[in-house]
Amino acid sequence: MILLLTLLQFIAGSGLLRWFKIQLRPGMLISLSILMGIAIFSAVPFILQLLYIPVTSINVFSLIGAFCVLLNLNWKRSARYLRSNLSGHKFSIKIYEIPFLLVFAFIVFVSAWRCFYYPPTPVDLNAGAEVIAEYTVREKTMINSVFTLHLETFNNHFKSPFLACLQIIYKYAGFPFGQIWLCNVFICFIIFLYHAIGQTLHRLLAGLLLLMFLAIPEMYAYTFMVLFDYSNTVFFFLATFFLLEYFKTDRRNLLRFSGLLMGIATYIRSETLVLAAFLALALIWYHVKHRDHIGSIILSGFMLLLPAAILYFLTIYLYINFYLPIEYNVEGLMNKNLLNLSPLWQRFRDMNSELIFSTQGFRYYGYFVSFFLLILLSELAYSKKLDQITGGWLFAVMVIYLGMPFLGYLLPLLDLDNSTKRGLFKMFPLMLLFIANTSLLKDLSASIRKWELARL
Amino acid sequence: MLKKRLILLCISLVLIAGFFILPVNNRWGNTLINYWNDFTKQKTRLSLEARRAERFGTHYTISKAIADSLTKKAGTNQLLLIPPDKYFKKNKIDYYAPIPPVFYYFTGIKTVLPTNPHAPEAKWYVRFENGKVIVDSVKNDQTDSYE
Repeated sequence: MILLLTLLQFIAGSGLLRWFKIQLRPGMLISLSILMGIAIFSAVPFILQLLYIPVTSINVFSLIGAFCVLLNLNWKRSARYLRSNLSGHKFSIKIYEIPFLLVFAFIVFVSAWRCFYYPPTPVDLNAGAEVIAEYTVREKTMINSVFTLHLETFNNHFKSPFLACLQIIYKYAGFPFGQIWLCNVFICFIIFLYHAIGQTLHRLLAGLLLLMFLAIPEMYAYTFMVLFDYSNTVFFFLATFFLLEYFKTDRRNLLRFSGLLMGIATYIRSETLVLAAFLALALIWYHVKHRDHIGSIILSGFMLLLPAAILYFLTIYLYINFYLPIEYNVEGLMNKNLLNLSPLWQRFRDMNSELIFSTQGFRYYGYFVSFFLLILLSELAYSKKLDQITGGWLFAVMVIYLGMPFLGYLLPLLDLDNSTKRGLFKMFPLMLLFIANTSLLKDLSASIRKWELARL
Repeated sequence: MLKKRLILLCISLVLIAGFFILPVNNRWGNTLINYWNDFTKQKTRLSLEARRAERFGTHYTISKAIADSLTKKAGTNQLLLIPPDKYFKKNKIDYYAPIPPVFYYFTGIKTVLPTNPHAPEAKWYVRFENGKVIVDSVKNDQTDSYE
């Protein structure tokens, strides 16, 4: 069943990629297709609910089937698209990759087993998405008896339907604890990352860097404990990746696709909209540098932010205010005294002193931040300046580094020990790609490759 | 070229070994090994209830027992008043009562906290007496207990 669901995700996702004319290497295309398929799946029960159609297994799987067909309506063109992307690339594993691949396989297996074996654990999940999913399966509606509980002091049931929808689908598919979809997210994400790093670095270095990334202890724990942040991290990273691809190639389809990915990230965690707006500054800078006219800048801004704004409107404004039977004042969550900047400074200081640069920080995030800083300083010493791509990745890192405390100041409910701690996950794949694009490591890779291929 | 690739293979092994020597990575590696050891035991213990009990501990098992007790006496459609955690702690009971949505997820029983304005609507409540947790009606005409 899990293979069938993954296949359906691939079919739906690859159809969507063809719509956006995304050209990638096979490893990246396949993994991205499945990730996009998961995102499409996550909308299915929500769409049924918005249309007041019962969320039965037949309706859910029929709509999934319909998406697979509609996104590949011109199946000949879809087949041609896949053939053109998948052919002409030889799949090869070098002997020195094997130790890293074995370690990755072990890391993935352990995560996948815990994901399958244990029931969903985080209280935030069980008090929100999971209990809603469980009773949706029983009552065939996402607006079910959970909302008759006395929930005055809780807010988890107001969070994005993303997790609940995936839980519903996997429960219907015969996985009583759902959550096995997270393995697909995790595996596809690391495959995508490995290939993305491998585009610039020698595979030996790519393996080592990916191992460092996987060994971020706190982040790894969320590869088998379902919550919003890991999936949010994946889609925010992908949005940034394609935004920077747009900067490289100036192809508008990449910007539109980045906008869609940012929309998905916002669908998963609504406050991502603020981070998307920060990231849009890079887009403005890009156009200003190219002396583009104001209309072009506004159009690009719309492409990046409109999907996120639409999905925010659907999931937060429309669904909460017009569908859910309990009132929730989202505006009431905002800091009422925005002119007082001391909470912002306090959060920024606490984030650094308690979460990042502390003994606790090493327990949460391992050596990854220290390694990033070491590479950043070495790169500045080595090449004196950052090029457009490394600069872009560094800017994205700064968006999260400054954006997370800003969100904590804007929405005081986002606490340091949970929301900010997990929100910082978004920073790590961005750091990884920054590291992978530094001249220092690219030159080192080139030297290794040259030595490897040279005759003795 | 094969010779060079074998050298790179040795380097990759050294890099992995070096990586796991670093203290934080070493601790994480040991966690993975513990997880693997868990797997070797868990692979034959696949009942859903056992997995829930293993994961949630008394948080789950006592909640289930409370719910079973209430269901036997009054059915599932009852509102149950759950004391705050400090009440159980004070009585040295290893139980943190789940918040209402989690209790509902575990058991299908609706609960309410004493601080909630709807608390007076509860017809049943949970209390502790002589080492036992007791599900009692507000009128105190029916009690049931377990250790």
